[in-house]
Amino acid sequence: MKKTSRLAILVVAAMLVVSLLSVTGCGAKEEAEKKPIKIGVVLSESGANEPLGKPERNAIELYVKRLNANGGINGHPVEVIIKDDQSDSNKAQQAAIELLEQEEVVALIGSSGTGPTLAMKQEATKRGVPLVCMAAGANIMEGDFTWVFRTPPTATEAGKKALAYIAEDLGVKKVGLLYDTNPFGTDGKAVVEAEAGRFGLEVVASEGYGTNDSEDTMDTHLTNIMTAKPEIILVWGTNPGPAIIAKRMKDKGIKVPYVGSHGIANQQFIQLAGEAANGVVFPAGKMLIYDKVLEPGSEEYEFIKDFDQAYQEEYGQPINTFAGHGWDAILIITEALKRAGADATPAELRDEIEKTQGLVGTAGIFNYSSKDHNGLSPDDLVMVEIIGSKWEPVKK
Amino acid sequence: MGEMRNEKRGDETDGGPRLKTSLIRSALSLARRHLVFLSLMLFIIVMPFWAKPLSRPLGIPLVMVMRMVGIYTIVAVGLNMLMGYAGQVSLGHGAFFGIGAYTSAILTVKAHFPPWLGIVMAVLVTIVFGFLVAPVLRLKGHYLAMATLGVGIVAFVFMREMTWLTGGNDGIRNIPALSLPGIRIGEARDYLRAEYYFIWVIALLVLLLSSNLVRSRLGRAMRALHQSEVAAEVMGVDVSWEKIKVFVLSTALAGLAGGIFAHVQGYIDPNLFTIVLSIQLVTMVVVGGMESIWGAVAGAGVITFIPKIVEALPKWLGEVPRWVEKYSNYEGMVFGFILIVTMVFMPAGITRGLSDMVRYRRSPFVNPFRRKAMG
Repeated sequence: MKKTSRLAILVVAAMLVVSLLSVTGCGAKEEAEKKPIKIGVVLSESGANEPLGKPERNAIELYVKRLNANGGINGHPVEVIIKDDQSDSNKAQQAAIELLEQEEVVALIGSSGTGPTLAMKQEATKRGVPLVCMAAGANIMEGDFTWVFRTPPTATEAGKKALAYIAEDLGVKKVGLLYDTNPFGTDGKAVVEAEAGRFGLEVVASEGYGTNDSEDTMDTHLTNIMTAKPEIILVWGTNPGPAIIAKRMKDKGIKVPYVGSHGIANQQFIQLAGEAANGVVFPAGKMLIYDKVLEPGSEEYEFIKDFDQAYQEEYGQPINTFAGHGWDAILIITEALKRAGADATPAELRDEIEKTQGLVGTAGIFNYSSKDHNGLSPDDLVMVEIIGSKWEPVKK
Repeated sequence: MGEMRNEKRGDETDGGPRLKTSLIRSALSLARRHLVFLSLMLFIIVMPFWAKPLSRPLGIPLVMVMRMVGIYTIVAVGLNMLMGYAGQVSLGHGAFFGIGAYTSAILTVKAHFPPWLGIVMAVLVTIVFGFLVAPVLRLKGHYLAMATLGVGIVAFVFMREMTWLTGGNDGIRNIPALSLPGIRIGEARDYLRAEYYFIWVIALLVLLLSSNLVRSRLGRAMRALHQSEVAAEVMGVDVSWEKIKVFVLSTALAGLAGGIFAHVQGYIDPNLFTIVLSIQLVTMVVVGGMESIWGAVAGAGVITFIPKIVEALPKWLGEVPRWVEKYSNYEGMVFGFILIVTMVFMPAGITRGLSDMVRYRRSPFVNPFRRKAMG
């Protein structure tokens, strides 16, 4: 009989546990008025995407600090719960589930990279909670994108901007395309090949290179491209590839103009390419050189200037693109929350984000609709030229 | 052997005067015979209710981890039958798990199969692959281990290189969530719990069927050929056919678990199904205890929880010392340490060790420094 009694004890113990819990469950319902609004954030603060995740976190924390100091949303403070996904999809998914099921957040922000973002999209879509992401991969918007919104410009906007520049400002026809075979580069290649015809351009040669290709291999790629006699070389990739290409072109005396992608819109490119960076032209958000392209006193200028000053004051560093993405992401959610009300459900909040029109952010002016969850247009980008290792607007 | 088998079948000799009492009696004796199963079932049912308040202070998402334990349990039970009962080592089960996952993912994403049908197909496809691979069972001991290792590597290379089908290194994204015909599993905030129950209903069924199976004719044949293939053959066991049967059964279970995994995970890529997974699965069986269906559950639990506990350690202890952090893979260190300790002190696995402790009231630990301690 010993075993039976043991079983009986187990049953009773289990029942006790359950009943105890239902009691605590009731108690939890008494909550203070003006409860905080919870927003979950998943970033890559370590791992490969660390340079992206850190400024994103800084910007989000600073934004929320300022918002709460000004009374939050209709008196409700905003609480952001930030988790690190270590640039790992699996960890991002786990963090998203915890935020959604344990913390019951009303919206998610994240992540820095495309892989982790896709994992988060999965969970947000399952549960019907809006996700504002800061990664640019085209496949994020593939399939069901009902619950996902994006802040950075994508290959589509940047590609159209660069092609328009090549066709209208440079007035050439034959384009040689060099792209990284990683997701960033193949996104760009797809856009360039699909859109070139519409700008009256012809891609005469297109060659993929590996992210870790050496200088010798790059030479081979360059030789292959040059045999097709392009009038301009378009390079779609993130560092260090584009910098190596710029250097090799200078060394080999290739005089064809070099147009890059928005993937080289950071100081690293100038550091890596050195002298060879001069003369390189690429599309970038206006924030990069806002004091040179925007009219002082305009809404966009003042918005970015305010962000720039606040960020410098708090962290002692200049703003960068990724801090801008973080600033935009939290801005988009909180602006929609102000309209939807502090007790909006995730579904109501999503509908409100979709109604976002003419919202000035750091990356440009956001206009979402049920068909477009990217929000930006090619007009939000400017063509930048590197002159004397500095960014300058391209003169028309 | 599993601890259940030694129990007597209750003492229902005198048969109660009324039907009611006899029903209660038989129900009680049934309950007694399945004590382990029932308490596991109770635990599984109740667990999510107290998981929520416990998870945050612990720093371990309990339901999430238990969901993975359920998936691994399904594989480990199959592998346990193959390794523990039939004595055939397989270092390729991670690949079969992967084949199951890819089958269901490809069929649901590209051919728009409903998830439940994808999972059924995953089982069928892994059965086919199981039969194709079965000839390696003619090998014995470490030759067999090496051959199955090769199977695992070949499968991994195919997953990575057949880009048109598997998406290559990028894998497959946007795999639909679990569902049954006409029913969406889980709503809004309770998705995790719904998936958890779905997985454990299947895992408990697998456990129940397997614990009956190992006591059946096939089970006896398996144990016979584990002891001596020649002796088994002499006794009339069709050795090669029995081996193929148990191998295919275990691959089918790996495929089932893999299929479910794909829908829970939502995205898969080849790196989820490397040789490391195969080794982890074998470790589950060994740590849990060979020749014990319940050992598979315990092994799956221990191996799944260890990395989570190690990850949460800094939260409990404050900061991790610098020199530990430097070896960023200290998860692996703890993992290896526990493996060594289990193997040295509890060579029959933790279930057997602990159940012996209860039954014979003796320490489960073997003294490795005593001569002949390991028998």
